[in-house]
Amino acid sequence: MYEQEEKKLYSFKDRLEQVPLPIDAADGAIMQGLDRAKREKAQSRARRKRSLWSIAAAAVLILTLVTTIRVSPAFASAVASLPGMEKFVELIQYDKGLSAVFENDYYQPIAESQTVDNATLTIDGVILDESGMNIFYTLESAVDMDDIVVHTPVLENEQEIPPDSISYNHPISQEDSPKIYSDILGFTFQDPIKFENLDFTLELKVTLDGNEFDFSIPFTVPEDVRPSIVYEIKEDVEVEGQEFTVEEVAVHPLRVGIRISFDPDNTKKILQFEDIRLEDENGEAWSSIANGISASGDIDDGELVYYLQSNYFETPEELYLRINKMQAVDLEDSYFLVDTDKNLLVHRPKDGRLELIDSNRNGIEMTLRKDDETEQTYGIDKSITDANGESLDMRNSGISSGYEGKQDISINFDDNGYANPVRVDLFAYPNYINGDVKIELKK
Amino acid sequence: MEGIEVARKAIEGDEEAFVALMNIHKEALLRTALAFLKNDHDALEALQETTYRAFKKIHTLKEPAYAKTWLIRITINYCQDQLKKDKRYVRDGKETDASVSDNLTLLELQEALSILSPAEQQLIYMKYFQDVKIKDIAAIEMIPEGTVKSRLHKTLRTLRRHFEDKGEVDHV
Repeated sequence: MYEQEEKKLYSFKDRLEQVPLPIDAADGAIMQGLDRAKREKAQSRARRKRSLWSIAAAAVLILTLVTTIRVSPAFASAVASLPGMEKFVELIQYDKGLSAVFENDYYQPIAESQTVDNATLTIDGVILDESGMNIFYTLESAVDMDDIVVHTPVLENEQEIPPDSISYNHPISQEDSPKIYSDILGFTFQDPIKFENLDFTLELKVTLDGNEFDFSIPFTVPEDVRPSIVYEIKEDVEVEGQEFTVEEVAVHPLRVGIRISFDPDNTKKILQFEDIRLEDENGEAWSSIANGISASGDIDDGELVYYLQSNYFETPEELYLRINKMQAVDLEDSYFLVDTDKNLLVHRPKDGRLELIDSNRNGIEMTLRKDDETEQTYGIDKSITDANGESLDMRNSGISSGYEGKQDISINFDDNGYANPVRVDLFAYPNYINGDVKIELKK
Repeated sequence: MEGIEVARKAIEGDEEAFVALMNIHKEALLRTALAFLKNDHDALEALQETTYRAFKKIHTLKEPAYAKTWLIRITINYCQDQLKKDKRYVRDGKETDASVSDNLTLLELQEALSILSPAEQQLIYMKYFQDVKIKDIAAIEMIPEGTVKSRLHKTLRTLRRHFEDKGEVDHV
């Protein structure tokens, strides 16, 4: 069938075999490679004792993962009854709340398609509640899709929908170039919305191998949404002298939203809630941080909503909101200042763990010292402003994983003629306050 | 059969046997490197790196009979990594010195391989340049023979399109 091509390949092979080889130098190359490997083996033997511990820790982690991702029979049978759903299983099984949505038939099949040239977009189904909408979709192409780029989707309704955030997976398929690609678009509404009219339109622009496709699919959600359960709490909490108020907990089918406001007189800035969770009367965690978007709002506005996986479909007798550990820093430690012209760190948190490695008008390189081997910080920068309070466009920022007791940080931005020093406000920082917050959720 | 015995000893950690194993296969490995990279110098680097990686991993090789293909795969993986880096950093045409690049057939070969995915490149190389049987490719990759065959067909189809396009250009 492919004789021509095979002939051509064999002719390549013949020619390749005639190419003279640098065989005299080969033995030297082998010995060099061997020496290098032997040197490293000798070094790693000295380190082995310690690495065994991390292997043990990793093994525990993997075990935990394996136990939790096992698909529950109820979930498996719920999904099996929906044609075409099997391709989504791996995307939803990690989220307890989403799995429960399927077990309770709250997922609504849609099956609306549009074909543009040789590509077809299908909305397989949706999960809609007052907090957001998850759209399960499939892209099909007559030709292999080597490069799939999904651009920011727009969801339209009679009512305005300000999407707080949209999460979707980066297209990485098991196959290199699939003909079919499935994913979930997750919309989180800024404030809960009750829709009068359940007719929507999804506008989605997709680039497949460099060609743009504009899809626009109208669809109607067949059944009305289930109402969210809102617990008004308004309870003031104090942790190490810092005060905040748990305003309300809203349990939606897709997620749990916890609205917290902060006392403007606090001496510390609370950056992150590390272990915010819902627990039942036996202390069993009922809901923990969800994948994807985990908070909305800005702490500088004094109020934030944190999102957890949903427990909408299963409510224990008693439910408690628990918080033990928060990242917090003194107000004056909640930012650092760098003069990028003088390559100088002007201000930093007083624990001295941040150090400037290098800077210029387009970026800053720093290191963060780790006091604790296991501690891992995922990105510390929230925003950058110049001396006049003008914000700078961050081009990218990244943080390395820990090595030799530190993490490397790199922040890059455009030089728009800004005035030094630049101020980087912290998003996270490994400094903690501890408490024991336990609030019962009562209807 | 002697080669298999050498491989078995090398897997058990015998350093002398490992060097012997590298000696037996060094020509095939250099040739493999030259199918992907542009000159002798780079090919020798590839051989050094293959030796390094192989010595560290030889205990993971289960079947001594597959030692040669195992080594070739290491070489190909290294070459593919290098090509990726080249794409990012060089490719301004300055570095096309090299004896091999003058060889038009090889240039044509490298161009044809470059349109394939890394996995497809390996497959084509193993099947047509090393004459590895489909049965053995399936065993090494731990996938069914049918899958190997369908991947091979798909890859040949891609190559056909590539050669056809080339053909048109030549005629015009």
